[in-house]
Amino acid sequence: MLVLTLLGALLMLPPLVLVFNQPLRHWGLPQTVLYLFALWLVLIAGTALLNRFLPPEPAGSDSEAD
Amino acid sequence: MLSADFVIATAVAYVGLLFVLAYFGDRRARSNQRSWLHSPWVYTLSISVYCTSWTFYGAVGNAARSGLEFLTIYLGPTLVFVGWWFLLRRLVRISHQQRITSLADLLSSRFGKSNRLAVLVTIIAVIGIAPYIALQLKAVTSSIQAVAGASEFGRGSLTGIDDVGLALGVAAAMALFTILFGTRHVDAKEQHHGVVAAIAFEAVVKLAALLAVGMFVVFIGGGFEQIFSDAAAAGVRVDAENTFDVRWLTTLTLSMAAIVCLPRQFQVTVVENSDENHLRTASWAFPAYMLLMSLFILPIAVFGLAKMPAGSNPDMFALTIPLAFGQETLALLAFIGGFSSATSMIILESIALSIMVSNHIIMPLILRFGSASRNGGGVTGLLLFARRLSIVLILSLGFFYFFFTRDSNALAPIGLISFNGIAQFFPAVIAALFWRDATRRAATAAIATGFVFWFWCSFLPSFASVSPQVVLLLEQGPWGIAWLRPEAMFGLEGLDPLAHAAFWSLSANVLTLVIGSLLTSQSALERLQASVFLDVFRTNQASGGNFVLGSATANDLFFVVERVLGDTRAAALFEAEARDAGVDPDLLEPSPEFIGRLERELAGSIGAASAHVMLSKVVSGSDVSLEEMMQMADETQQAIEYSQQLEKTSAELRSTAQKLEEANTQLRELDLQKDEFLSQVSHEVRTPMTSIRSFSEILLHADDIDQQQRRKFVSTIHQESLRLTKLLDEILDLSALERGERTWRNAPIDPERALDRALDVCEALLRQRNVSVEWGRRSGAALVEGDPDRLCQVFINLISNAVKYNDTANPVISVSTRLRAGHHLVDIADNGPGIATGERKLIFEKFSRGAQAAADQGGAGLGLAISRQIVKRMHGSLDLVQSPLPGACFRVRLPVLVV
Repeated sequence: MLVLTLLGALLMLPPLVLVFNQPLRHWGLPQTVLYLFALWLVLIAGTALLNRFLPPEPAGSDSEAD
Repeated sequence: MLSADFVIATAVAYVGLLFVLAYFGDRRARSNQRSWLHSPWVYTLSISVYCTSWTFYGAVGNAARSGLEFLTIYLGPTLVFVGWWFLLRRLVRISHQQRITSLADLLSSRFGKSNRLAVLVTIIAVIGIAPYIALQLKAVTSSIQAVAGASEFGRGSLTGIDDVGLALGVAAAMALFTILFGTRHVDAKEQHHGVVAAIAFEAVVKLAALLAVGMFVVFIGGGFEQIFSDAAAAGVRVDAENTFDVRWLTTLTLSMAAIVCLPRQFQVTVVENSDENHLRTASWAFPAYMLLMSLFILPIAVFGLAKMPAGSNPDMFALTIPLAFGQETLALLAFIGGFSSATSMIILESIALSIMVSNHIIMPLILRFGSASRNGGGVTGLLLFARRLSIVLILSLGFFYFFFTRDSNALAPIGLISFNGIAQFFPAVIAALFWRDATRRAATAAIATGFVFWFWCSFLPSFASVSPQVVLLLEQGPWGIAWLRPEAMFGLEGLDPLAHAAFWSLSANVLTLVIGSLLTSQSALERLQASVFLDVFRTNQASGGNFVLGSATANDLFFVVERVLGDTRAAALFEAEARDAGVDPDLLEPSPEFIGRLERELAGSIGAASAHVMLSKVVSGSDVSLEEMMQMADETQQAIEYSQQLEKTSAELRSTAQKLEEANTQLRELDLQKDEFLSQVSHEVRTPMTSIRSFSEILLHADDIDQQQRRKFVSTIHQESLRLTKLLDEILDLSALERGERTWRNAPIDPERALDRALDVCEALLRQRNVSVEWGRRSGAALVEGDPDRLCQVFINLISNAVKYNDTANPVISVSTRLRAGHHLVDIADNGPGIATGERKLIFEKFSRGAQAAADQGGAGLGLAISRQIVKRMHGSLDLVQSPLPGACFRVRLPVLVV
């Protein structure tokens, strides 16, 4: 989870993001736009996936019980 | 055609719908804990209140002006939610445990429940959010104007009303709605299920509206590819070289801070969270929602730039493009979507802020001036009134900001000013959660410093369009000091104003926090709270016993709690506690844990600092009753007495043990004596027994003994048995005397007469041995207490000893008596060999005889021991004293009766 977060942060900050900042087009879309949205999707999917492996909170951890 | 009246009516109807939704949502949530309102999806949708009209309108405008920069506003929160395990989970857990109601509450609670810090945070939040509220007012106003301006008769009842009037109307309506929505009751945990339901609904509406507009644009634009090609042809570039500069980093950082620190985000993400597992879903679903929201923003922006007439406001493209293509229904949907995003933000933001204001500013004032204790009606009503007042205040501030900056046209920069202001809390929040040594003073100073920098570099310059003074300030600095120019502090020129302000304010903030924390030290309460916050996942117990048991009675506590939480809830709390303790509610003794729980419950309504102050007044306040003090003193006294008793008992035990030990030694000695005695007795008995046996054997077996011999033998046997009998009699006598078994009668007697009688008895013996008796002086008649026969026995024993052991040629016994110091003394001395110095102590022991005499004398050696016992029973003493003659001298000493 920490790796994913840090990787996401690194990839969307200069200088790494500049690597993809070329005036290129794929399927008619600017590469930068595609790159950022793809990264975004990867982060979302990665989080959803990782959450399955994290231990769940005790049910009703709402402090109503204390 | 759409008219302004129609649009406004639609908006009002829409708000009415929201209100109904909120009302039923509230009722449903109350009646059923497991309803769909508690699902993680509603939670996720409510978090999307982050996407305001800034997103709906402003992001399009931002994309049109600065290309991809708008994305950072959503990428920052995405990072925070992707890393939810580290920050958000911790935040939610702590807030649940500590009943945190707002960001100000969180910080004040962490830093020693400091109310001053809470007030500072609240004030900064209210000021910092004003531009943000203004942004919403501006967006709604502009959208109404955009719809109305599109047709010649569209203005309808708006004729003659300018932007400002419209914005005022919008603000007033919003204030009314917010009050109706958010301040109907004071909840124990500050959760507003109904409002959350309405917000979730609005999230769906705005997403649907934006997606509809986006798809429409893509459709009429001929697909993504065509739109971007057309835009490129029209000279619009989105992938500019300078997109990823300092500004990109700045906005990313600010948006990360904002998703945590914005009061409304804190409210929905942390306070309204009813289950930590919801965060799990939201961690990917909320970024996904933002992705969907931003999907069509770029196409709308570039399409608008390429196709719309030059000079049209890019902020309103989402509304004006459908209008331009004659799609009025779509335009109305877009309007409702934008209106949705604006209303949800305003409602939640003002609720969150009003909670902060009422809990941290108004409540402490009420507590301080004590009107609450006089006002029997309860704090609840007062609290609600305070919240309503704060909502009006907050919206007024927003409106005034709008009024003063109405000429600047872009939406996103206004929002970023707010973000920058709110971001000043971020370092303190991070420190609160992760740095144990962060201190209250450092956090307060850091936030204040950051705020000052923000105010100077970011907030003040935003008034440049209306105030020539501000323009002058920007150009020349205050009093002409160039290095203090708000947008070029310390000579840092050429930087983007936003990045400049963010850099200076946040750097100063972090620096102050770190250095301040290293220089100052924490109070006890701070340290306690720090460990509660940092060890939230380690220990499951919430902090409790901050209170010592003072004079708080259940009654006093109930009175306080009832005034805040209301009658039913307070009663429920106390009954539950009484049930747990197993006592009658009327007899409940408040334990420190219970008081701690009450504090948290109160904190849920009025904030940690206020709750602490309120309970402190009751619990450890000045009025510890006299009885309580007396009792405490009594208890101390009792404790002292008890320890003294303990000490005494232990001393007694010690002496008993010592006595026991002594007794034990004595017993062992006696045992030894007994053994010795037995061996002596058997030795004494053996001698006569041996001769009896041997003589009787001779008599039995030897028949040739003549009669005379036989007679001699028999007489020897007779003598020996007499001696044996005498010995046994003496032993019995001695043992009886020693154990005091024999009945003993003491009577007044004359010892002189007993002495005379003894001499008479010994007359024959004396004459036989040819002993002459010398009389010394005599005391004359005296009275002592004793047994005359026994005393006589003592004298006979002494005289016979003197005779028996005297082997001189001319034996003499000297007898004298006298009275001295209340005692009658009888000295019986002889001119015999005397007693050797080494034997003097032994002669009174049983079976001991003088060494010289031992061989041939027939006594068993018990005479002196018996005599001594007899004299002792008469309270006198028998001693060996210095003799006037060469031999020994025994003295009988008896106390004289006072006549």
